[in-house]
Amino acid sequence: MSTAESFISVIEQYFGESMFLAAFFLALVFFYKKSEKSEKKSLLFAVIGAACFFNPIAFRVICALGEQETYYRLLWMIPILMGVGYFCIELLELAEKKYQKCLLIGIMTVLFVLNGNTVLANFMKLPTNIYQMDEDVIQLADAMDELSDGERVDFLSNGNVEDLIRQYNANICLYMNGTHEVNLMLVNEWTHYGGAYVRQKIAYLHPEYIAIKKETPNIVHFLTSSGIKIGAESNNYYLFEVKPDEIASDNSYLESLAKETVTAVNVEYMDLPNFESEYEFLYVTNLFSNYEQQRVEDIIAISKEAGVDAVIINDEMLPNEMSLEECEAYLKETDIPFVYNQSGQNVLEFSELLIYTAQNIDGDISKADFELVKKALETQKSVLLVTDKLINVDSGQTFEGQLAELVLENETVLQNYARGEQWQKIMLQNGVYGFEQNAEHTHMVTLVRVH
Amino acid sequence: MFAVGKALILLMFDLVFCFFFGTLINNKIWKKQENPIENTLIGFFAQQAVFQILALFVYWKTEILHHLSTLWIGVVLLVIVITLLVARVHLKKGVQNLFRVVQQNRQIVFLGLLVMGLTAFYVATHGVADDDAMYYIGLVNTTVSTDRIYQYNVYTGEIMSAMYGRRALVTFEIQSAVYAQVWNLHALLVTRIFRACENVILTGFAVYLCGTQLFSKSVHREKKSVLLMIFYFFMLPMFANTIFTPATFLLRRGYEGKAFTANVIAIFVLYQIVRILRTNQKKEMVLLLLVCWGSVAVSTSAIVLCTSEVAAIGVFAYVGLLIGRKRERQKV
Repeated sequence: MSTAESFISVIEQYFGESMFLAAFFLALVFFYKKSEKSEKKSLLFAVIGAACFFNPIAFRVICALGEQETYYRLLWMIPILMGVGYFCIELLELAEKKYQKCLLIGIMTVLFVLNGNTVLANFMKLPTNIYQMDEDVIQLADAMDELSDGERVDFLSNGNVEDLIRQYNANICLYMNGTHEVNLMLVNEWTHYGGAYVRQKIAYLHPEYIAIKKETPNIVHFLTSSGIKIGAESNNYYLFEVKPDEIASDNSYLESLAKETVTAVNVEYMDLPNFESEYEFLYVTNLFSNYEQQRVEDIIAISKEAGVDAVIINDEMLPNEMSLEECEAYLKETDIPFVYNQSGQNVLEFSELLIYTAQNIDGDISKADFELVKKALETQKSVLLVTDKLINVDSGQTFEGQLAELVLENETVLQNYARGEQWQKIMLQNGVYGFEQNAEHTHMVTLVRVH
Repeated sequence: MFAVGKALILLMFDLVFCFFFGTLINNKIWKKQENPIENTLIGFFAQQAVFQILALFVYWKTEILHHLSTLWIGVVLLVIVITLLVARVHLKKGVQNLFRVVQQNRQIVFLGLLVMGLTAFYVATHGVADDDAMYYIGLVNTTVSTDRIYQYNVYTGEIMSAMYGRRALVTFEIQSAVYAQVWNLHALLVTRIFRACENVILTGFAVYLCGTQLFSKSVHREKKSVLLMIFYFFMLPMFANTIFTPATFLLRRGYEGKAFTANVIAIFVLYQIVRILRTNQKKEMVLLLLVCWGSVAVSTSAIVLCTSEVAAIGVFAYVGLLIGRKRERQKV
C-alpha cells in the first residue's frame, strides 16, 4: 500500500461511513462567508496550516517517526462536532417560520436516533454494581482478600478475570512471564498436555490462587486430582488455593536415578488415544555438544537403571570435543538403542511408534526423512518428532513445509515443541502432543513415558 | 451508593477548586473579565501543571503517595485561602455573571444541564473494560494499594526496575490516586464516575466558550452557545461510529487522559487560539502556554496534539491575521 493509500485509509477509518467531514466542510464555507474580512484571512491560513498536517507527506514523516498508529489523534484538532453544531444552529436561524424550525429539529432528531442507536439501546442497561465490574471478579477478589487477610497474593486464571481483577484489587498480582505452558493448559483445557510438568510448574511458580471456570470440568478435575483444593467459589468460577507442599508429586521426579552431573530426572507422561504399547525413553539435550565425559557416563547409567527403550539425544550443536563417529561408536558400545539428531542414527522404529529426530544441521529436512515419517503415519504408527528448531509452517512445497502439514493433520505425532512459542501454540491447537525438554537445564533429563 | 455520592461530592469540590484557582489566575493576576466557565477550565489546567511539579518532586524525593497527598491538600487549602483573601470580589462577580446568564436563558440552560447530565450519566455508567482500562484504572489502584508512585508494574503488581519513561510527565492518574487516597474512594469510582463526569462537564464548558466566540456578534450569544453545547452532546452518539473519534473516547473511555485530550483540551486550545487572534494580548498567550503545560500532565497524546494545534491552526491563523492587517494598513 502506498503512503497516499495508507493516509486515505486512516482518514476513512477515522470517519467511517459518517457524513461528518462533508458537513464540517459545509460549515467551514458557511463560516467563511459570514466572517469579517480580517478574519477570513486567518481562517484561510488556519485551513492551510491544517492541510500541512493532513496530507500523505506529513503522514509519511509521522510514520517515519514511528507514530503511524497514533496519527489519527492529530485529527482531534479538527473541531468536527462544533463545526457541524454551528452549521445546524445557523441553519435553524435561517428558517424564518416556526414550522420550518420544527421540521429541521425533527430531521436532526431522526438522524440522531438512527445513528445513535447503539448508545440509545445501551442507555438503560445499568451496571449491576457501583464498580461496573463483572460480579465474578468482585466475588473472587473479595474471597482472596478474606482468605489472605488482605495480603498481596499471586493469582492465575483461565478466564478473563485477569484483565479486570487488578482494577478492583491491586493487591492481587498476576503472572505474565513463565506461565506460558500453564496458561495454555488452563485456557485451552489441555489436560493431556504434560500433566506432571504443569504440576511442577504450578508448584514452582506458586500462584497462591487459581480461578477456574466451572464450565471447564477437565481442568477442575486435573487440579483437584493434583491435590489443589477449592478455597471459595463465585457464580461461574472455582477459586483454588494452592499450597505447593500439598501438590501431588506423582513421581514427577525420580530422585533415586539422580547422579553426580544429572541431579533431577523429570518424568513426563504422554497419554495417546488408541495406543496399546508402553514405551519409556530418556530424553537428553546437549549431550555431546557440551561434552563432559562424566555426564555422558551418568546418562548411560541412568538409561540402564531405568531400563529405557531408547535414549533420544537432541543436540543443538555438533560435538565440540569428539567427532560424530566417536560419539556414535561410544553409544553403540553401551548396547542402548539411541537416536541422535546430529548423526546418521536419527530414526528408530518400534511396532507402534517411530522416533524421528530431525537432522537440522543445515536447517532442511531431507526427502528420505519426510517419506519415512509419511509412511509411518500411513501405516497407523505414531511418530515422536524431535526437532531442535522450528519447523517453518509457511515453507510451502519444501519437505519441511510438507512435514509441517503432516504434523498438523495427524494427531498421532508427538512433537518436541521446546522451541518457539508460536510453533508450540500451532501444534497444541491442532492436538499435537508434546513434552518439555528443559534444554537449558543440563542437570535435568526427561523420562518420557508414552502409553 | 454512599460511595457514589462521595464521588459526586468530590466532583463538585474539584470544580469549585478549579473555579477558585482560575479566578485567582484569570481575574486577580491577569485582570481579565470575570467568566466563571473560563476560570474553571483555566483552573483545571493550572492545577494539573502545579500537581505535575509536586508529583515529580515527590517521585524524585520519596516516591510515597501519602506524602504527595499531604502536599496536595496543603496546596489546595492554600489556593482556596489566598483566593478568598485576595479575589473575593472576583469570585462574587463571577458567580453574579453566571447567575445573570442563567436567568436570562433559563429554559435553554436547563435543557443544556439536562443533556449534560444525561451524557455524564451515560459516560459514568457505560465505561469499557479493555486493556487500556486495565492500565489506567490499574495504575490508580496500584498506586493507592502500594502507596508508591510508579514503582509497581500495573499489569502484574511486580516491582519495576525503572518507570515507563514515556509517561514520566503524565501525572493525571497519580492525581486520581491522590483523590482516591484522600477521599477514601475506590479507584474505580474515582475514574469511572469522578473523572468521566468531569470530562463531560469540562467538555461542555469548552464548547460553550467556543460558542461565545463563534456567535460573538449575535445578540443571543449565550443562548446560542448553550445550544451549541446541546448539539455537541446530541451528536456524540452519531460521531461515535468508529473507535477513533473524540466522541467514542468521551462516551466509552471518558476517564482516560486521552479522552480529555480529544475533547476538553482540543477544544479549549482552539478557544485560546481564537482569543489570541481576537485580542492580540500577551496574557492570552501566557494562558495558552499554561493550558499546554497542564495538558502535558494529562496525557502524552496531549503533548503532540497541543503542539500540532498551535502550530497548524494558531501560528498559521496568526500569520493570516498579520497579513490581513498589513494589507488594510496599506489601503489606508
